[in-house]
Amino acid sequence: MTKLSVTELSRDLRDAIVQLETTEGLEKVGIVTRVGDGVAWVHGLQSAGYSEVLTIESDAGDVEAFALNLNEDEIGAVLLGNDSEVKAGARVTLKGETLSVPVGPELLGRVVDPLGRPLDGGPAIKTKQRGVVEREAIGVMGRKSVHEPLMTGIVSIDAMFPIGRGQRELIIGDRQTGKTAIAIDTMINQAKQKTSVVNVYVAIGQKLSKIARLVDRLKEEGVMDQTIIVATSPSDSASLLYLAPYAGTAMGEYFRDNGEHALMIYDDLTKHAVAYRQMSLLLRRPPGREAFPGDVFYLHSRLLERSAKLSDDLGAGSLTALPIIETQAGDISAYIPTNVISITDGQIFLETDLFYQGIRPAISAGLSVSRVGGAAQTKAVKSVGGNLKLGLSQFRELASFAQFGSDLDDATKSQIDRGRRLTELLKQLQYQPMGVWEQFVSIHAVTSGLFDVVDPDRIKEAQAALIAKLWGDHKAEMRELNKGDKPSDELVELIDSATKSVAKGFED
Amino acid sequence: MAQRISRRLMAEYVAGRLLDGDSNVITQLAAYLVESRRTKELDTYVYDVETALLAKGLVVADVVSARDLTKATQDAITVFLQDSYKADRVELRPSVDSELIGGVRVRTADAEYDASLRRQLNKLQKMKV
Repeated sequence: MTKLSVTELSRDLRDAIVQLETTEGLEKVGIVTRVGDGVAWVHGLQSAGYSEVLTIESDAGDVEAFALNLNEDEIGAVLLGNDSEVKAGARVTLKGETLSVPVGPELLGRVVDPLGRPLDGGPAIKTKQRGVVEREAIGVMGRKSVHEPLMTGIVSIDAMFPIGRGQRELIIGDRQTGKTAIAIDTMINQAKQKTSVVNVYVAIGQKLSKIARLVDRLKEEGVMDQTIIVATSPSDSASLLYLAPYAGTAMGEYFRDNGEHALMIYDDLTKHAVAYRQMSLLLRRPPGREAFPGDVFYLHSRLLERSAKLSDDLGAGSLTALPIIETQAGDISAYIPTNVISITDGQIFLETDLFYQGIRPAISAGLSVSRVGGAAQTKAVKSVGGNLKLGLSQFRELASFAQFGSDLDDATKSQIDRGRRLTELLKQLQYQPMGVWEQFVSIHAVTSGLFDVVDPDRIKEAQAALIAKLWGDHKAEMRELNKGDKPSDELVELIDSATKSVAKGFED
Repeated sequence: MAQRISRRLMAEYVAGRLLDGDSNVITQLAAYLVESRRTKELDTYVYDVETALLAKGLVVADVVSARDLTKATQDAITVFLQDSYKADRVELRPSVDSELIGGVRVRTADAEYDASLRRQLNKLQKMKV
């Protein structure tokens, strides 16, 4: 323990008093007229701006709120603290700033709440900079078209619906269909492939036990060092759930604006819309369809518009977004899903039926799309995955017809067989993302017909054997292939001969 | 159904009539509040009327101090408020509250100047010096 110095104590006290005495003059104040359900109504403070932070004095200390309703007679402010501490008649002052959160590399590896306060029991977070929570998206001239790949490590996504850095790709599906699993695998792949992409996972109203499990898993996989988790639980106030994605984006934007690459995962925006609906109804804004307020589209469009690939002049950084939406009974035509589908640059639709058939990830080839990722796909994967989507869609259609009879012509039979092999190949265990070379050799083995001799039920076995053989015998070549360039004819021949020898071992 | 009148519009009307010397408007406002069951909003109405008066050049301020203020101090506060609001007239409502320990707290319709010892001690406590 340090020795208490009376001289220094006296000096500190004097300095503090001098600081207090500098606050001269009249200070604009208002009073709380009523409070409840996380909303305080304030009389006065006519100069308050939209989204400006207010400080409400209470016996337990100051409680912050932000002004969302600027009415003629009063202000509706959403509390960021506990409403039981705020009493009617409490003094309210303007903080003179909009909401901001700490941003910077100091946040990496930490679990924080939407105000940047640590939730992981670690030390206080001291950053050099703060980022504004509600920030305007970058303009047209500051952007560049998406052209660099953001590999998820999931073969079916990287081959059929490639995602580029700066893209917004929606992950949509019913509950328990593997939406979060795709997001987590993508995060893990960034560490495995050493892409140096920073992950920002925003948990909106997620169970704390789920977040704890996620943190443990990310630590186990060595991803936590390049990850920030912004966590809110169902017991948090609606205001915190509403702020979480904006706060997380501010943290991600720091990396984007400094020429780095960041990946945002919003898990999930359905809960975000519900939290905003709660706030809006309590603020007495008129309800619209499904009781959502009129600006629920703008709620998500302004959030996702902040994800972008920056121009070279601005450092060429990027912010990629993977928002998640939960549907009810596969209904993607509901209000919030259609909104977010129209905002994003594509969607990965997960089907419950496929999930329970054991096809995992349960990606629907027909309903999923990536609108801008084609330009960002690695040449290696593009060279083999060109008509994978079409083939798979045709197979699923043919397979459903084939159930009614066995009299099929040879061409249809072979198409169905190829489809079955492809389906088996695209099954992938969780936490096992694949590199470019692994994806290339796997798809090539099936689409080139070299694995036609392998029974569809043994495809995964054959794939594992092929990967092991190539890595054991041709490590240098595979490392080269992993860079993503289109493989030379010699390399393809080498892979073909390895594939043939592996296929021989699996012949019936 | 009768349209609900904006509190601010009503306050501006009352302030205008008060400045014209029509004290009947107070009775009329009281009757309106009772009739429209808005008596709970009395305090906010007072603030709004004072805010409207402020815009018309009359500052009404509550001055709370730990002990009675001297004439010189009251004059100094009047000048301070006149300068701050560029007001034509200032009316003070002095009162004594020993809980302030020392200093003075001036509160107008939309602002506050708190130079009391109590507030400074509270601030120090919050800073955990």
